[in-house]
Amino acid sequence: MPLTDELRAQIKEMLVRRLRLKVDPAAIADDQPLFGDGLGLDSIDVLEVVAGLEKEFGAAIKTQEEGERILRSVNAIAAYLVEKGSPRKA
Amino acid sequence: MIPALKSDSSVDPVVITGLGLVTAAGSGAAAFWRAFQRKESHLGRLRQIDAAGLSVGRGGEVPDELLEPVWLDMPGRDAGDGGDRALRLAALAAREALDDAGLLAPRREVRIGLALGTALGAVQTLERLAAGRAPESAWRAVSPDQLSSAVAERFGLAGPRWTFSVTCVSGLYALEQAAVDLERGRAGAMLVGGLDTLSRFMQSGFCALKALSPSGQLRPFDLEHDGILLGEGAAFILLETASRARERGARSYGAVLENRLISDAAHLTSPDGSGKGMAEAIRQALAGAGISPGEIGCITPTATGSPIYDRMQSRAALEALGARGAQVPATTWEPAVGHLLAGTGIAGAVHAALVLDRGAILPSFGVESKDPECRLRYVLDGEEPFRGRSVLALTVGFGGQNGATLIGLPPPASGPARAPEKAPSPPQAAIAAAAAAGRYIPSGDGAAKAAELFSPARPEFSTDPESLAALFPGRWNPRRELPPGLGPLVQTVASALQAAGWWEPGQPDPVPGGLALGTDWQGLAAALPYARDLARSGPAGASPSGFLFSLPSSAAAVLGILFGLRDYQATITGGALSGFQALSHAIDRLAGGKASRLVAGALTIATPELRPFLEAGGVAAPGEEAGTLELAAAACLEPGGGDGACRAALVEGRDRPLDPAGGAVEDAPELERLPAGFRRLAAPALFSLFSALEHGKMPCLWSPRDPAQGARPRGLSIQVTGTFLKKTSSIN
Repeated sequence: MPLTDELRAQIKEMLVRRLRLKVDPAAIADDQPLFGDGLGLDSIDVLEVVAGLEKEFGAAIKTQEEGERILRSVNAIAAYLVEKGSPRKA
Repeated sequence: MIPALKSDSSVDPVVITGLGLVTAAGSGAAAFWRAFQRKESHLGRLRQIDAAGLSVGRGGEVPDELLEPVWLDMPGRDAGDGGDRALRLAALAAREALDDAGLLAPRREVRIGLALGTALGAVQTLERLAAGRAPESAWRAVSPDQLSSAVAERFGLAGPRWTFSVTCVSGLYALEQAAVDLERGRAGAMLVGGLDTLSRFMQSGFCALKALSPSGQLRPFDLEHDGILLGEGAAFILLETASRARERGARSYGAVLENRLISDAAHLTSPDGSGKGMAEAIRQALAGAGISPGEIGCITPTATGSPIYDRMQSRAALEALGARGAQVPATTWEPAVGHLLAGTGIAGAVHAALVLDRGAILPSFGVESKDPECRLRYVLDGEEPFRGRSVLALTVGFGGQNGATLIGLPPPASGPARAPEKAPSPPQAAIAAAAAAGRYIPSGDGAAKAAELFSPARPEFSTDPESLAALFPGRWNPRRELPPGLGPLVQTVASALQAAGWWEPGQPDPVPGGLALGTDWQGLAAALPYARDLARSGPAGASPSGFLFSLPSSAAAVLGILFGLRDYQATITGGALSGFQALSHAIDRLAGGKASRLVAGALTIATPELRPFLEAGGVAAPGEEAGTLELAAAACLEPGGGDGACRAALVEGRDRPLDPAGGAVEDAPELERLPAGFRRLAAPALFSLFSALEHGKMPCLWSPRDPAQGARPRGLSIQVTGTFLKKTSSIN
């Protein structure tokens, strides 16, 4: 799976839907930090996104800590999916 | 916080005279002890539930043959007549405890009550309904109070009946109420239980929260501890006063010396890693029981195998017990049978009773290399003799729930060896002070006084995430939506707190006090979509927040976080009467000196999806158009009031919630437009009581058995939003 804008857009769309964010998916910058002052995600959000990656991209993340490592930004998630070769499921 | 009043040496201690425990190790406390003694782990691959797609498919299941409906004389299939696994589990353990106490055969001279704790109740029936594999009649069974009703009916228990749901500490909340019911003479004996079954629902939720051990090993206190393994189980104890047990010649395993519950109220799932809340619970338990750290002979942490909980309890015990904390032998039975969810607290009491009875502490197992941050003296090698007066059982639950329970040798007939700490400010003194300050409501001109006190403050804020973050600085994620249906509850509680002068919008400090919330089926509004999604798409990618909000305690947890109400967080799921029960429970705590400030409230939610459930319960008539209804009522209570001339009485047990002379239920004009079935539900019924107070029809609240010990509402409000029956009316 190539690291494409399409993949990034799919990730952003999943984030907005799954976390019920009140932002336009396109307004999330590729490098914007997802935690802290960036999107302000908390630990339950991390788990929610981990569940989304599992369901929609077939990526199995085993622990919350691993999730926090991978979920730094849209780019970081995309790079992880490319490395794992995770296809989009639906 | 006012320390406990059970201190008086003339008070009759509450003792345990029967044990019932069903786990993966089998049926009976003896089977449990034997498995623990032989270091047998009964955790393995899940068979009874479908483990397909679960990232962790291991746990501790109760052998199916133990739960044969025919053997239990409960031959039903799906509904509340014996079919659900939770009910069969409860019935088996309840029977053991009653039998052990010699009370299985119906005895007219002992009126037995039931207090039950469960996180998810008959969840397997809910799963089958969501998958379209159960008849519509089964809907009745999914309300947790139906579990209590069925057990009470099965064994002819005619006393008070309570159902609590506070995650893994549920059973300890039930224990609190049971002790009061005995002290007040409402029952001759109380059966107290905690239980949960394993289910695809529960297992998938824990998988989504990444709480389970990815390695499939439960290794508490070990350097390699990586998470929980769940076990299903039901634990019951039969409680009586020591004098009554002596009278009927019953054997006593030990006394419930104290039981303290504190919530960290910091996060929806995680505990406060410092262990501050648990340390406080331990200190309060010691003070209440009047025993010193030196008298504790054994500590049993809840060994979930999750690093944060293992370490947090070690920190808490060391902080609260000082140097003694590192010397007391500590052990845990969970590697044998798994983490028993809402069964944990009472299973801890059963284990403590066995330690006292057998005079032995069994070694824990599964530890190869101890985590240096777990610094208690864990018994790992051989059995040790029990020396001391009491076992300290620690119980933890989701969202930072902490329970510290002291089960000790029964005090001699003359009372405790040493007089425990005296309460500096017992309720009588508080009542006198309130009267002197002219703050109590006299019976004569109740209306004027009530109008002054109860001017209903209308909510002036929105409950969207940004507004919540501004109203509750540092307490709410500005992006997190409230769980479905909780907006009115948050606004109602805020209005009540504001009216009472306990809270101001934007206040950074937490509100001192606790909560007692009644809800008919709040968790179901989230549980049903979660179960449907699970049936449709399987567990991969199941929503962790969807699971969390399925727990009936999630509403109280959210209130706790927002307002910082952390002293106590009871959720009562007693069906339509749960609002009254929450109020009654709160009054009992205030009157007993166990709390100084409590918010009592109720929440009722109805959505179109819950329609079949409402129809099966007779709340809504078939064919009526369905909308959405969210109702909440709340009042702030503190000790006071109490005037023999009060016209209305409140709450004794479940069958007479209101004195007919009070006539409150039909007197609230705000509820007239509600469908008749709804007026009786938790929030509307509680509101009608508050409304009667507001309009002076009921000048104060008091307990009919003990008018001197009342509780005075200081602020209250009600909000009705949404519509349920669009065809007949809109309710705003």
